[in-house]
Amino acid sequence: MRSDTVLEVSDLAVGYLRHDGSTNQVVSGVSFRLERGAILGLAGESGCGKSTSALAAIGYRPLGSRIIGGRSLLGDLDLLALPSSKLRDIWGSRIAYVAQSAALALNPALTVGHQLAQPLAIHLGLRGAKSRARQLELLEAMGLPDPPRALRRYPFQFSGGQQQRIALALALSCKPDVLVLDEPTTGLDVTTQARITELLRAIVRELGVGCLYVSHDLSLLGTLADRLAVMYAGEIVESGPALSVATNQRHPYTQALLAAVPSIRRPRVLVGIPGRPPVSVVHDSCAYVPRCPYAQPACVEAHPELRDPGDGHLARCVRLEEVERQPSPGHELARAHRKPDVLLSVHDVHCAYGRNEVVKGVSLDVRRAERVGIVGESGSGKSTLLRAIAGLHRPSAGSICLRGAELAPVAVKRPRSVRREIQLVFQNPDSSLNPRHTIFDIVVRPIRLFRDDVPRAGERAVVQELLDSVKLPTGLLYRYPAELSGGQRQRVALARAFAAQPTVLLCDEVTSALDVSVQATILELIAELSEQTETAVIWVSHDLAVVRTIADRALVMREGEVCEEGTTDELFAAAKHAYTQQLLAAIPELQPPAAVAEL
Amino acid sequence: MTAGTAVAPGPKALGRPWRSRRVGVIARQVGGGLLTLFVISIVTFGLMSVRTPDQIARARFGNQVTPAQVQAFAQEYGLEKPVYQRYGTWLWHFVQGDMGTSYVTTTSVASNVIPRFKRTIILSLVSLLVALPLSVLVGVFQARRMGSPADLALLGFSVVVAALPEFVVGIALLYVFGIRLGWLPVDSSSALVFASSFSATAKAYVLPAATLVLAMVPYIARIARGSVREALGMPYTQAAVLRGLRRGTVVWDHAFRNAAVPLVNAVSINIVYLLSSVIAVEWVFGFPGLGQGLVQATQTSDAFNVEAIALLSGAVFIAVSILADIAVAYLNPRLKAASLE
Amino acid sequence: MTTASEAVALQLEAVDDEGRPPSARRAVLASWEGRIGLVLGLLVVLVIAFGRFFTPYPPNEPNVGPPTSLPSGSHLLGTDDLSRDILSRVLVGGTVIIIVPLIAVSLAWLIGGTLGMLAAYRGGRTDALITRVYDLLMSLPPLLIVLVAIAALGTSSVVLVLTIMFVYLPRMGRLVRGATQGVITSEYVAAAQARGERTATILFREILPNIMAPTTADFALRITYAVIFVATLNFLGLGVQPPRADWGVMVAQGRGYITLNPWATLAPAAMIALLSIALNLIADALTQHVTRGRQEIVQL
Repeated sequence: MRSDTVLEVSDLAVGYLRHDGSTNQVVSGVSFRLERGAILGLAGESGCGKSTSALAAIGYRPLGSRIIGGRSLLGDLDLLALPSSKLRDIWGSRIAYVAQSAALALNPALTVGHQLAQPLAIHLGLRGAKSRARQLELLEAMGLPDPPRALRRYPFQFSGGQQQRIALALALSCKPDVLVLDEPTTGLDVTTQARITELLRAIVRELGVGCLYVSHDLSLLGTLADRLAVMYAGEIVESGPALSVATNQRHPYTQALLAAVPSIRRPRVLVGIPGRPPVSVVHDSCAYVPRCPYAQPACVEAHPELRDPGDGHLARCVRLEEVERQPSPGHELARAHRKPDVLLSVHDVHCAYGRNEVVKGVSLDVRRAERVGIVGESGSGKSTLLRAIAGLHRPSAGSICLRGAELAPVAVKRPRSVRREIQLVFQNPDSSLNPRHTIFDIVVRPIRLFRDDVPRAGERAVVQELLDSVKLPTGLLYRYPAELSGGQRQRVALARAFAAQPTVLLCDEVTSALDVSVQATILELIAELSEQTETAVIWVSHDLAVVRTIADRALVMREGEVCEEGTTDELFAAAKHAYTQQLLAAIPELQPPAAVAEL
Repeated sequence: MTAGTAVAPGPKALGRPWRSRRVGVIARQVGGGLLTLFVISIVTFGLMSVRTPDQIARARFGNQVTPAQVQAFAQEYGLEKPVYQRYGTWLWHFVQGDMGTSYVTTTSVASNVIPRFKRTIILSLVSLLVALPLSVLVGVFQARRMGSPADLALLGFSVVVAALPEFVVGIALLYVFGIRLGWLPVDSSSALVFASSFSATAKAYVLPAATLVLAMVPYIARIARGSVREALGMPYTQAAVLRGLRRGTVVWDHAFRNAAVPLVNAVSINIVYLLSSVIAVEWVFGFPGLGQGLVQATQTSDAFNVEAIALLSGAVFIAVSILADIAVAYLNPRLKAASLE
Repeated sequence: MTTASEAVALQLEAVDDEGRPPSARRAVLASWEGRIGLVLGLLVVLVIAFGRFFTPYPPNEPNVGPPTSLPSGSHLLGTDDLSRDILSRVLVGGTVIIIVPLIAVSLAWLIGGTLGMLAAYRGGRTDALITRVYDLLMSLPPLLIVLVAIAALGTSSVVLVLTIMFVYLPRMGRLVRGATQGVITSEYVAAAQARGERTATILFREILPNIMAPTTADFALRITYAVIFVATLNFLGLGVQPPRADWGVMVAQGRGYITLNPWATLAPAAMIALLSIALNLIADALTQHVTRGRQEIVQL
């Protein structure tokens, strides 16, 4: 063991108990090492076992989970063999953990000072004035304004970014050797995320802690971490120096995952990963085989091992040398062919909730078959604007016209043809489909309302056709939404929208609840369908890269106003407004693959 | 802005100091309580006035009453006057402490009701003081050992006991401890109505109080179990565990503090129901309290007694609800936080 | 050993199992509480419905044997102070405590629930008015008001049904309103509004199926409460009047000679207990089904 190694995990295997008593193994053979002053990024999509591995590595065993094997050495202590009474002395003092959402991980019933005092008292024996001095010092170091006042306040009185700083202060309070972070910036605005990660990097270097950073965001980890491990189906499939993994993938999954990440540098280029990952560890073949473009008979015959071709950049693939030489996949999305005539025009629209005005005079023209993006951070009024166009929120002033005819403010008052032409797709696939209706019921509704050309007897065929067009597997017609995955549900929502044969499709954060590989497939689909049917799309998102990928033209909104507008090519290459520049600067961007190709 | 004005705490009110806002909230609650009491008095008096003087006289003299007797009776009590006048007179006297004389028993209402009131208050307080801490302990114990044999046994027991009407539980206790074992008095009235030793008086309280406790504990403990269990599953509890805090600190300081808010809320909403069971319990044990008095007065349609007891017990219910609301407000960190701003 | 294709198949299975929307029938049958409750409840209901055809003696006929005698071959549960046969009286004594709650709670559910749903969907003034009325009704202590109503209007089934209905109407109404409000913010309701669906369609097609589970559980719970409530009123002598046989009345009367024949009290008390335990278990199974969800307990 090298002297600067603080935690060494080897051959970790974890399972969950099923109802029938058998074990569902979700993590297998995970090994990694945390070194002082360095960040190890653990990446993967939801369900790949990354959070489970991180928690198991520090000895935490939730009810129903079972450590099947492995060791986790902190000095010469094996955390997996320790009883929980011993672990309690280590947690909080030598190992600190920061959970995904600080808003949930901080106790709402206790003041910040109360929560900070507890570990200080128990692990360091600090009480009274000494404890208080340390608390103030910690909050100061985390950059919280007015620490004495902050100590007296409750967690919910702080913003999301501040809460995460408090959680960091708590984690670092007893000067731990190991810091484990589970998606600490997910859900925060990009600018806040950038500030937190900057702080984190400084802390890790300064205090010399060994840091494990779990995230789904490969581009973030690629820029933040020193080393990077990628997980798939409960195993590490690739690991190595962060920059090397991020720019020069040796496992087909990592390669596909990066190709699915939308980028502000690569306009309209993207490719999704078809299929879904397995839910348990696969032992007798390569787990990625069913989705892999490089698959060959050898991949099915035996389970591949992590292999090091000699430079410390490992991959679990029999063809890793070939994969590395292949150019990253990715193709351009179907281009929108925008027509010159204005279809929808929004003029000086104001919207308010009570006295709180959230949209302050926005104007916007959408041409036929055009894709327009609206970008903004939370609270910018972008979603409310979309709801106003859909007739779900009555604007306090301004007008919305479809082909020059002014629309009624509420959907019910609009003529049937208008309701047909404007269709809306929502963010959350859990809540946009009625859980008590079958997929057929959901998709057939707009057909019954708006499509006089479809007779009752022909409905089934039309619905099936729509489900085929959104590339859903057959046999889902009489399933309920909860039986489908998030991506499949979003496809059903799209099928419902296109069932009405709209001319304008309003999309509200449609992909933000999805994994990147699924997001990519949905983006491909929307581009393809809108191009085929010449449907205009208004795409609202907080994610600049997604807007860059899907839209031809974009508006940047801030606090209810449009602060910049232009074609995406101009906007992202040479932003004029300071706020747009700030947003762009906050995005973690990997080196473009082109730069690697030149080497 | 002056302290104590009863207004809804709007955005402006948040700027006010907590103390004055708290006084304002309490004042509003007390005002609402008085309004409810007023409504109770009108509903009660109105309902009791549906009966004709003839029917009322029958309650006093029996079915052989003559028209002349009815007329004299109606005159004596002013029954020929319109309802609102009678209500006004009654209320005016009532707020001055004069509860009137019963039509039926011709005795003073106050002399019947006041001693009963005292006994019922003692009985309810004793039961609550035992039941609340016991329920919390049982609930937290179950939540920490969710799914264990001890938890399931307690759960099964509480499902059965909670399902039983209080009078069935009372009869069962009475049969076992009063009759079979003979440890405790079968009838509480003799020890309480006539002067007797402290131990005899205390013994008269044991079975009724035990029945009330058995009625309350399964209910409250179940809510405690659920809310503590939920708090134990929250990310903040996991985070507290991973900070290496002691088990007791995690359970009581982190989980229970959050669980207490919904718990007190549920108790405050349901405490009126829980205390209502005192009526049946008193009837089972012949306990001479307000509940027994109310049932007797109801059976004999004794208007003034019904009205007096309705108002007194209504006042108790409202006072308890207000206290519970204040406890909720005090425990809720979001409300408490405002005091620090 | 798991292969990739097996893993995919496993995953589909896992999804299928949890995806189906819950139904009340399956909720009751799936848990042991529900099953026990159902069996017990059916037994008691059978006794209530058909017991009248199997009485060994006319239930209200006095002097069919010695007074207050203990159980014997000719009187399986003994006799009461008027020498009536206890078993015969137990077999016919359960009608009121099941019929009155059923009618009262159903009425409260239909009226209170419809108004509550409308209040939540309409919002604004409709909502303010309906909730104001509900709050006023709820501020009155329930048992007190029922007793006062009985003192004034006498004891009849109509008075019982109406007063119990007024006790539960605002409470059930508020629950339906709350459940509706929870559903209204869902995006599928917004989607229906954007399609321009009629109010009735949104209420009954989109919202109602999604609030059925909590309201059904609440309904079962209220029935349980109401059964206890009616039994208690009968016990207090404020409901069914003697000589009619009723379990609550029998418990009250038997208390006077409990030392002579405890069965005169314990048998009807046990019947009431069985019925309310059965109903409680069923209500419990339904409630747990509503609040079900994977609850993780931390390692302490």
